[in-house]
Amino acid sequence: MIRHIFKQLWFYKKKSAWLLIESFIIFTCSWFIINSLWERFYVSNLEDRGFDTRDCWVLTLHNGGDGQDIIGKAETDMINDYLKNLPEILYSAPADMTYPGLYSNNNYIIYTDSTNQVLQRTIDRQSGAGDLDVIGIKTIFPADGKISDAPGTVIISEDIARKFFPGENPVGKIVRSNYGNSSTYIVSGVINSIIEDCMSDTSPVPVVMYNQSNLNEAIDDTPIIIFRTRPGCDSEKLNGMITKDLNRMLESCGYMVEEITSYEGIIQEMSRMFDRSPLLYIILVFLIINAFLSIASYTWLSLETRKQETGLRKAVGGTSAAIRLQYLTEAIILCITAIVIGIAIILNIILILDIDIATSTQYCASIPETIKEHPLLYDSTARFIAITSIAVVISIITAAISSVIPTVKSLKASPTETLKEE
Amino acid sequence: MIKLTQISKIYRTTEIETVALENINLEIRGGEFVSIMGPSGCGKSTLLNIAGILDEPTSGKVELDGKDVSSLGTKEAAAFRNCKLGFVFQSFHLIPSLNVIDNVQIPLMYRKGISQRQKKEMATAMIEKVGLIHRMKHFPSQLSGGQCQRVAIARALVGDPKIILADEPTGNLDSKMGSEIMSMLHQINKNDGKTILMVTHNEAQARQTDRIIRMMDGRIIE
Repeated sequence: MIRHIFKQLWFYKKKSAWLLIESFIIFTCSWFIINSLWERFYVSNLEDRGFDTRDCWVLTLHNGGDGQDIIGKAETDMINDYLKNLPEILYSAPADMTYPGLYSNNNYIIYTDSTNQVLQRTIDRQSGAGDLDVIGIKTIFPADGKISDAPGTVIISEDIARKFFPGENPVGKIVRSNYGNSSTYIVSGVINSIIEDCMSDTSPVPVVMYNQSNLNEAIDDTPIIIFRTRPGCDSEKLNGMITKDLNRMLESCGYMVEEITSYEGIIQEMSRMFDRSPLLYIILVFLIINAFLSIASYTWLSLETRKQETGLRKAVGGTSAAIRLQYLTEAIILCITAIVIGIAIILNIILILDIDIATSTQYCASIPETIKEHPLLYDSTARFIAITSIAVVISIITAAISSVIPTVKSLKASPTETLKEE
Repeated sequence: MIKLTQISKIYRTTEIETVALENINLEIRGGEFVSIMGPSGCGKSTLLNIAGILDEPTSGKVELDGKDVSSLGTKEAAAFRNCKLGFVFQSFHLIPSLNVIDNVQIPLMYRKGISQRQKKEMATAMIEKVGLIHRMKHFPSQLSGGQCQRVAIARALVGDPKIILADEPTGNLDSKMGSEIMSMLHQINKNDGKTILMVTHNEAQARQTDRIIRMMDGRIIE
């Protein structure tokens, strides 16, 4: 049958060319769109992001304009104590804007000596904050989970620990960073690797949390407190009560609660701001529908001209299933041919233009350990194969479904009707 | 070999009802060469289609080679046609994209248990039988009408059917080619013992057959 199919495709080559072009377009366009969506899709489907922001809230304070210019540590301690005493609240801590997902693009270099350096993402944290508990970051070292929060220490993510201190407990070791003035820091803890958010240029990344050196300095910029509530509590009622109480407590220093927002909501909002994937999804769906209609139309017209052939095949003993399989196979063979051509062209484009399709490491701060854990993001070959596989499946399914409907319809006519026609 | 009992065929639309066949009783013995004649629209082709299980009668029973085929499902009917029946059409109905040997092999595509080599051998044997071995790789567009019909006959015979159903096989051919085709059909009937049921308008050709069945207005009159 395959030989027959190839002969018939060649005989009807002008019509076959149309289907070939359609299949080629859907494959190559799907490929490039999936490549653009890949990082977001990959990261958003990872189960463990290294931290847990369920029931986690971000309280932002706002300077009313009348009081102090900056809020002092005494006030933030007061807020923290108030929150910790509420029975609905499990943990709370002051936090800077640079916590996982709350902000982006704060990349610096850390190096342990003059030859080993890696770009990584930094997060500023206030020492003694207890913020690791609030946002559920898992501690690997020290084993008891109690990280010393002394100023001038750093907490590094697991992939950095494996890179620079393989097989050891890094707590107490020194790392040097050019954040600031090539300061040296003592490692006080190792946490689970963090995948911050769905923004493609910042995750997954090696993370370093710098502890602020001066506990007595006031927090400038926008003061933020993060807290975690017990599961199942009425967060709307609780947040309303907190806002009212804190506004009263902070009246004297001129600060007030600007808003209390869910941590997860902020991450999603930040992702949405930079997210162009809805447009790409729309384009992909439009492309599939367009290809579906084109292929279905071509198949319908082609089968109309081959009506007598269909009738003859039925007359000599061909079942509808066998004839349907033949026609579908014709469509699939053309689709596969288009895919092969598409792959060849895409490969040539990538090689000739020297495009690195893997996630750029310029800003995302990946190191060999991070790369190894996410080959589908960082390994060009693995990523190419994965994206190509998805594009192939989309193309074949589109070609098959759009061919099967006109095929089934054409097989409904009886042989006597089709063989009558001249 | 072919037995039609009380066969009726009525075409119903929302507006009219057309009686194509009315209470047809017909029996054709194995090895007979029978022709059906009648004016246009008398139901000859309808009768042939019902005998070839290409169409279902509105009522009545069809027996082919001793088997009641009236109640066969679509798949069983297709399998029966593939094994027991061969069709020759007025318009040849060769597939233009396939060459002679591929056209002849088409019935074998739907038969299981035959290897590709065997299919090719069987097709080659039939093409040789109809005298077109030198045209095996040609396409229908490169053949004359008579040659196309010979390919169609080879295709009808390739599966070694017991019954050949021919619907005006010489209708599109000149007299010389028509005679050649008729001669071939007679050979198939006499030498291979095939039962042939042929629809024709040609009185001379019909007289060469064992029996003539005449129809008028959906009924057998002779």
